[in-house]
Amino acid sequence: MALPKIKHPTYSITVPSTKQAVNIRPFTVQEEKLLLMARSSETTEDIVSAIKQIIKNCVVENIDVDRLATFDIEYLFIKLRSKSVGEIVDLEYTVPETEEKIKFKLDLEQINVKFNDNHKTKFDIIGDIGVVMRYPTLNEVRTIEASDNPEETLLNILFKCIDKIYDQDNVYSDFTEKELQDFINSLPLDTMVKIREFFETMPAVIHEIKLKDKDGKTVDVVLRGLTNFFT
Amino acid sequence: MMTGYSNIAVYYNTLFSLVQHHKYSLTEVYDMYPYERDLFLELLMKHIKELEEERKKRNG
Repeated sequence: MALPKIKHPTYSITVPSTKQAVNIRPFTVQEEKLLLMARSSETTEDIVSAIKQIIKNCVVENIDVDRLATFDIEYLFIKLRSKSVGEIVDLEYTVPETEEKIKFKLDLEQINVKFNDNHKTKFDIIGDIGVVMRYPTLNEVRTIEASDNPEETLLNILFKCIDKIYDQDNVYSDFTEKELQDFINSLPLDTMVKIREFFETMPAVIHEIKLKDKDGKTVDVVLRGLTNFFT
Repeated sequence: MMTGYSNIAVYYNTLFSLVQHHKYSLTEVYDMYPYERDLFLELLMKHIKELEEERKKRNG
């Protein structure tokens, strides 16, 4: 039997949330069409779905894209774009006060996920009882954005991100929604503060740059999320 | 931009040019990476420009 042939160059990359090393290959001109078609449909769902499909195709190892955190998807896609189309993107920033448009170039290889030193995924709630949190997926974040009642949806997702519950003797990861709801109802009020802290300090794809306006004044720009990196 | 092109129309125009005028097959173009396609296009443009200059020189 003929041995498999290596058709594509691959690059090693680390999935930020899990620290798992994976190999990625550049996407092809045919796969680029998926992104362009999704863009022309102008719906966020189609764009998100195309991005996930590209990641699925281009990560050599088997990873569950639907379970990846939002910042994992953003980071992997930025690196894929960099390896497939080119490292440099031409961007434009509009200064809010003056509406001046500043053109600049951004090197995508410089983009990384920023981790907050105070961020914890595991914290005690009362005594020996505590929770281990997981990061929300892109679909969950999209649900909040599309919801008629974003506050309530956010709250539901915050609690859905409780991955494990532990006490002195056991770690519980296999629980029903009803059991989780009962657990949530029994939580002290300050738990919400801790859960909110988890989300507020969550890792993110952020890049800070300094630009110069037409008068030579420095303008600090913070790029965050795929929209900021590609428009 | 997420891709090398701003919209799908420009993408299809480029594909058509590569297939129609430069004898690539659609499969060959589809299998390229976007940066490769852009590089080939750049080289082709350079080549066409050189041919045009040579033609102008010959015709005086």
